[in-house]
Order: sequence, then structure tokens, then C-alpha cells
Amino acid sequence: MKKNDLRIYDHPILGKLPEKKRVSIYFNGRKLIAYEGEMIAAALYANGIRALRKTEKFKQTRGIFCAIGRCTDCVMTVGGIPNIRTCVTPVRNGMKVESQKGRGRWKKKNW
Amino acid sequence: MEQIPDKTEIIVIGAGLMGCSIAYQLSREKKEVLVFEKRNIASGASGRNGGQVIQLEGRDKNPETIKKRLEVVKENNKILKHLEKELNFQLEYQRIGSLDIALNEEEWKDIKETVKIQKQAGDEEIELLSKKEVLKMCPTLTEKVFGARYRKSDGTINPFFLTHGFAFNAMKNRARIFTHSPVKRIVNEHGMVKGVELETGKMIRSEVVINATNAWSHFLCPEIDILPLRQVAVVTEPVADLPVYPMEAFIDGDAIFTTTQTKSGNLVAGGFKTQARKRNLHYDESVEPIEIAGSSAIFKRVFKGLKDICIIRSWSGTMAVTGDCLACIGKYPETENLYIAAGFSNGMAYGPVVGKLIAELVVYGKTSIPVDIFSPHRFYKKQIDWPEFYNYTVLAEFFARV
Ligand SMILES: Cc1cc2nc3c(=O)[nH]c(=O)nc-3n(C[C@H](O)[C@H](O)[C@H](O)COP(=O)(O)OP(=O)(O)OC[C@H]3O[C@@H](n4cnc5c(N)ncnc54)[C@H](O)[C@@H]3O)c2cc1C
Ligand code: FES
Repeated sequence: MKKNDLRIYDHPILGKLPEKKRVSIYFNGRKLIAYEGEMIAAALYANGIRALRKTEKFKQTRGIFCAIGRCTDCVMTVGGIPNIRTCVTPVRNGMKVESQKGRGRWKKKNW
Repeated sequence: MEQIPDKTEIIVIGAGLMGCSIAYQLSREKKEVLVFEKRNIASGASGRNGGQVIQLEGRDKNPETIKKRLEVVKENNKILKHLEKELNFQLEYQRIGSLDIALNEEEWKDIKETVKIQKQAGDEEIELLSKKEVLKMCPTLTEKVFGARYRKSDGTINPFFLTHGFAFNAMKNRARIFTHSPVKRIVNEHGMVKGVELETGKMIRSEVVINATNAWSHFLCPEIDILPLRQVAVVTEPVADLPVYPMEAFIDGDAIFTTTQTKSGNLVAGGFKTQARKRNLHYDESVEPIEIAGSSAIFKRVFKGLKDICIIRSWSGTMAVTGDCLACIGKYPETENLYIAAGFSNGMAYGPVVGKLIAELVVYGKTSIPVDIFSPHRFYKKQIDWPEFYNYTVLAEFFARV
């Protein structure tokens, strides 16, 4: 496993992070490494990305807040579908993740 | 709190859409109007509905009633067109049309027949859309759709703003609205209305009394059996703009509705799996888990890719139905100066015009458009054998039988 990121590879209580299959995801077109089973938001955090979206009215930056799928602060456009709570959505190989402005936009045919 | 006077010219009971619209029109006639509301403005069905303005809701196949309903609802639409300006109040009115979609062969046959009859009866706007046409207009719909009825001057409105817009302007014209002031009974002597008595015991004398309590009207006017009918609705998270329209449809026999997006992007839907209950339990405003699940399932059944949309709130409200599904609007039989405007299950298509009609009746003794099909005489002192446990679906079967 690659070690120059923010993942905890050796946890004092939970022990060592088990080896997992590597996948790639695309954040705003940029290729990133993630591990199978990780949530999108976690993979982004590990790669140093904390700003996930902008609010509709005041265009303020938002990132992970609750991390358990309740607050919707982490929503992004995933595979062309807006409003996906990335803290509870696992990564898939080749997934396209885009930061969302306000309510975002539907890419045609994703309804 | 403001002192309640001992006497007035006109008392309106209920501050829902009907009560506020009536109070507004009468206040314009410079009448002294008091409104008594049990809870708060728009706390009844008027603050709990989908905001759809559908002119011929349901699938009316009686040419006579269609014609007469159209006269009234067309007038309503005319008023709505300029109402934001008239009230100087943002109403979020969108005249974008409405759909009644068929999700199976049988429904499609029924819609085609309804459209044919309604067109012949004089609804020149109504259109039939083939599967291809409706999917082009509303590509979000499920591929399982067979076709739809479309009416272009239908639409959607924010029901809170509509009710409050009337209330605000009525008060500007010096009408007074007393909230949290339930009326216990309407007082009459020798066939003449004298006023009302509040729950507190206070008597207020009045020349005219108007009962606009819809689902609660029979508590005050028991001679007309108007049935309360509970309906459940849910609202989704705000989502990016979608091509969606106010819609009616039947799923597994239940009459469901979905709306276009609110200004902030949410969708409202309801009507699927609303539980059958006894009459007195139709005033219960809690929601059962199966009803939330049912309303959420609408998105999966009606749309292509909205199955993952999140529901953020649910609620229920109580509207009303009469023995022939048409409201009671007009003079109350056998009691002078008592009026009723109740029995509405699609009030958005009637609210603004009902205020005007009742005001005309009160002030001039007659209406500018015929309202005989809404005459309260139809059901005066008539016992209706309602089913003991009912919801919308059970009632639809009941109406089909009688
Ligand atoms: C979930 C749901 C969805 C709906 N969707 C639509 C839709 O999309 N389009 C549409 O056209 N219609 C819809 N309707 C129906 C619509 O809401 C009603 O037809 C309309 O609001 C009726 O208005 P109203 O003023 O007659 O009744 P209400 O708004 O119910 O007003 C009656 C008022 O009288 C008050 N009251 C009762 N008893 C007393 C008393 N003794 N003293 C003083 N006050 C009293 C109540 O508190 C209440 O505020 C829906 C209804 C529900 C419940
Ligand atoms: S951070 Fe709260 S829902 Fe994802």
C-alpha cells in the first residue's frame, strides 16, 4: 500500500490496516488511488481533498460533517447523479466524482 | 391579545384557503369581517397539500357536471393569473400544465375515454399524449407509461402563500382574524342566524355566518354529511432541476399525486398506501411507517431514476368529500344568512373563485356564474351510507357502486 497519504496504516488500538485491492476514481477529472470498501469521502480525504461542494445561496465550501449519512454536507455529483452522500457511498473502480455547486445538475439520461 | 368584539356584520369560521379567500373578498366590499380559526392560518388541509391546481381533478365522465365545473374552475384560473399582482404577494404560481398518466392498459383506456368526453363537454385545452409524446415532455417518467392526459393551463401554487396572501390582504382591508379561537356552535333563532358561540362561551352576534371549516364542517352544520378524508404526503430533498409536472395517476388502485419541484427544488408526493380508517381517525395527523414507505415508493414506480431520492419529511392532513365528490358552496337551507363552503378535496382549483362567489351571494344575493351543481340542498338532511373503514381507494369503489 502507498504510504504517503492521510490513511492510518498502523492504528494504536485497531492495529494494522489490512491489504486491500486498489481502485482508481476520478475527482473532477483527476485520477486518484482508493481502496476497495472505502467510502468516497474517505478516499478524497486520504488524498488531501476536503472541500466537497459549494452551498447554493452563499457559495460557501462544505466537506464532511457528520460522516454517517445524516447531514448531507458531503453531497457530490457521482456518475452524473447529484446529491450523493459521499461519506456513505463506497468507491467503485473508474468512478467519476465531481464537486457540486448548489443543487448541481443532472447529466442527461441519469434520471 | 386583541379584544373580540360582541357583534359584527360577517363571521367566517375557519382560516384555511376558503375562509381567507372569502374574508378577503368581503373585506373588499367594505364589510366588517371577523374570522375565527381553531388553530392557526393554513393549519388544516390548506397547509398540508400538494399545491396542484388541477381543474378537472378525478376522471369526471358526466358531461353535465364537467360543463358546470369548467365554468367555475376556468374563472378560478382567470383570477389566479393576476392574483400575485392583485395581492402584491409572491405565490410561486407556475402555470405549467398537469398530467394524468396511465401505468397500465386499463388506465390508458379510461384516460382516453375521459379525455374524449371532457373534450366534447367543452374543455378545449385538454390533450391526449401518446407514450412517445409524454416521454419527450417528461423524460423522467418510467418507460412503463402508456400515455397521458395533459391540460396546459393547470399548474402548481404554494398553498401557504396563497392562503396567507388572502389573509394578509383581508387584514389590510380591516378584516380581523382570531386564531386559536374555536367556534363551539352556530347560533340561530327561528330559522335566522344570530351569530356564533366560541368554545370559551363568548357569544358574538352577527348578521351573516359562513362555515368554511371543510373537513370539520359537519360538527357545526350536522345536517349536511361531509366526510373527512385523511391524506398523506412526503417531501424529498431539494434536487437539481428536473422536467416534471403536477401529476395524477393510479398505482395498484390508489390515487396518487406527485408535484413539480418547489422553488427550492423539492418534490412532493402522496396517496399511495394511505391506510383505511374509521371516520373519527381521519383527523389523526400522525403518519404510519407503511404510509411513508408507500409515498416514497411512488418515486420508484412513476420515475425512471429517482428511486434513490431521499424523503426528508412526511405529514398528513384532512380534506373532505361529499356524496358526489363536488363541494357544497352556497346558502345553507332553512337558515337565513348562513352560508357554507365545504367539502373540498381539490381546493386549489376553487379557493380564489369561492371567495368571490360567496361574497357575491352575501352582498348581491346571486352569483355571476351558475353554481347549482354545488348547491348545499343536494345533501341537506340526507343520510349517506359511507363505508365504515375507508381511504381514497375505498371511497372510489364506493362511488363507482352508487
Ligand atoms: C395531503 C393532501 C394533499 C392535497 N393535495 C392537493 C392538491 O395537490 N391540490 C388541491 O387542489 N388540493 C389538494 N388537497 C386538498 C386541499 O388541501 C383542500 O381541498 C383545501 O385546502 C381546503 O381548504 P379549506 O379552507 O376548505 O379547508 P382547511 O384548510 O382544512 O381549513 C379549515 C379550517 O377550519 C378550521 N376549523 C375547523 N373547525 C373549526 C371550528 N370549530 N372553529 C374554528 N375553526 C375551525 C380548521 O382548523 C382549518 O384551519 C390536498 C389535501 C391533503 C390533505
Ligand atoms: S458528512 Fe454528513 S451526510 Fe456525509
